[in-house]
Amino acid sequence: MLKNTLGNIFDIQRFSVHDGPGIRTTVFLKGCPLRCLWCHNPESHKAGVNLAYYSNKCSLCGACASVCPNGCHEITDGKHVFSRHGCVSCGKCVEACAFGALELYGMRKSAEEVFSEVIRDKSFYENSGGGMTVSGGEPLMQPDFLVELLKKAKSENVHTCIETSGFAEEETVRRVAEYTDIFLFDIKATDDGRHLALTGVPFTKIKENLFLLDSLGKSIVLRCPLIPEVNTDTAHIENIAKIAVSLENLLEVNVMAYHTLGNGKYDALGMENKMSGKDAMTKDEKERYITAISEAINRITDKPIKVC
Amino acid sequence: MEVGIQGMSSDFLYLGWINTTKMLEFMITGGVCLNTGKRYPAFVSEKGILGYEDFESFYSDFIKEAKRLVHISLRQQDFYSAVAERNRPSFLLSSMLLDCLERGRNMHGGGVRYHDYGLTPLALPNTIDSLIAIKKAVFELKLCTKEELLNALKSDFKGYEALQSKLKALPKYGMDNDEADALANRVMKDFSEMFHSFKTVHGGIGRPIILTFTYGPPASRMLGAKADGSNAGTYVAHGITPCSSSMTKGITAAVNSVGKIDSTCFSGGATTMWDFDSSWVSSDIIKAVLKTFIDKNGQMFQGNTTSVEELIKAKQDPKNYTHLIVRVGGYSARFVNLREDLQDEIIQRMRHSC
Repeated sequence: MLKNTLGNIFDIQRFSVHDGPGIRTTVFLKGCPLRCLWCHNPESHKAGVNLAYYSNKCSLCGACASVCPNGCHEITDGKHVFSRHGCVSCGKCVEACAFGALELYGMRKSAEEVFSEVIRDKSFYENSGGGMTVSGGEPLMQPDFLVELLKKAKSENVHTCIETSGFAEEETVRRVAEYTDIFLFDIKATDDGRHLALTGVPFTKIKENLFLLDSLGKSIVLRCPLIPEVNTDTAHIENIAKIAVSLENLLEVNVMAYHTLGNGKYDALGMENKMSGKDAMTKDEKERYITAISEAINRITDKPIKVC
Repeated sequence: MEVGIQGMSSDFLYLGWINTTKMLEFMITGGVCLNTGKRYPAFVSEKGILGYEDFESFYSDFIKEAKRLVHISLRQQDFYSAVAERNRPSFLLSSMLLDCLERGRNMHGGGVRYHDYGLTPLALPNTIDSLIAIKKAVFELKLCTKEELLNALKSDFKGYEALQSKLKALPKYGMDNDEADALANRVMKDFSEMFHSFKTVHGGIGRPIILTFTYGPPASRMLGAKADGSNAGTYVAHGITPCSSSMTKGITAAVNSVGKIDSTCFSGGATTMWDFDSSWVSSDIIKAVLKTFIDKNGQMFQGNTTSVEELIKAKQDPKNYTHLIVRVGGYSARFVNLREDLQDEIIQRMRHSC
């Protein structure tokens, strides 16, 4: 195995406080095997590089048109027309644009390079019980890169979390688990057919990996994205509760309320937003689902399980 | 703030402020104020940026001129000392301060052991960001010529929007960028040295006190467009906190940048201001940020967690918001009792998000 494996990432986000305990830096790996209908990080789906064009920032100056080797940008009749099919993501237009209207998602970096940025905030991790979280996309899609990154963190005594859909081969899960302190594990649907329709993959393998991690003694936070009228049915709520109760190493259950902050990215990337027009879940609605899950849990057990 | 040695100092530890970013503006324009178009006689250098072929010469002359102006401000205090010695001898207080009785002189006339003067070189982070921009844009990367920069500043970037964007995108103090932070450290050391190199009439030194207090609005109004890409009148930074618009990588990066500054050069003390978005902040998080700040030799940490929405409502309906207390800078106050320009400054401050 190469000591300095390269990986595809699309962001390194410092001062993350919702991706595990304390103050953390979250590394976002590019590429995902799922296609959840409500995804707010559409830029993470493809493993390669994609170009985003934000029309609201465009000043129609045409600097991009003058540098594009394939003529993808055209300013005609006071409009900027971007022909995506000719784009090879060379990035020349991104460099030329002075207004931030063009952005390239995806960089190829070595684990060493990525970790050298993560380690800058070591004092914050130590003072807050924080650390490094690897998310995405699906981090388990790049196991060699991921393991190297986690190993570096462990060698510096940095706490590690992984945010994952759990959709991966067993071997990968075992490899990664060795260097991971907490798994932030998504539960999107609990019925196989429903799961396939909503995410493009079945639930079985995901469920197996969840219980594998539990049997390995790994701490787990169940992350439940809830999208009104899509996966908020009673059966799913009950199943979340059943799964939560049957885990030995569950830390807590998180409700991830549907939000619309990613909508602008779909247009910019020329992708279809399957949830277009849907409103974000309100605070009250979120509280109601938290209560529903808590009550479902209490019907099964007296064991106190945190739901928030 | 106004750090004095207890029981042995005069009371000239705080004298006011001098606008360092305005000095840089004069250095660029050759002594002409961007807002009025008039020549400022006290600034002797007439060369302007057009007269320099490299950054080091520009910077070294800037520091020389700034030092001259700082020494003039400090020298003023020698005159105040002479007047105070005569008209405000403060015999009782002097008798309790070392070494007045031994020397037979009152506290303003050379009786105290440390006859130091404190003064604030205001808006250092703004000055730093502009110097970084000049170094990189004009001399290194050649993003624009000296003439283009000068014209862009004169027109407050009207017609130079593309250049303004490029200047804004350059590295700044506050992004945990080692190159920018190294220059920041250099500038702060050079400014501090201006103070420490001054000998007061009774053998003391000048002490740089880095704060912004309530001087933000008037200092900001004085300034024309700046080389870091900010328009005329943009608010100045608080103490050694990076400029709001420069903290693009979040609070951890900003605290890291502040932590790289050798704070021993601030013999008069240095403040920072961290305003948090109230929707997600918790005392655990603030505790962790504060502890890290202290670990990195931070001196003073202040800030707000009041929601911006509430502040805006308070402006419109003061009677119902008399309970709102905010940290202005160096003191806290009821928001509704503040001058409008201070209220606006507090409202527009960057709220750190997670």
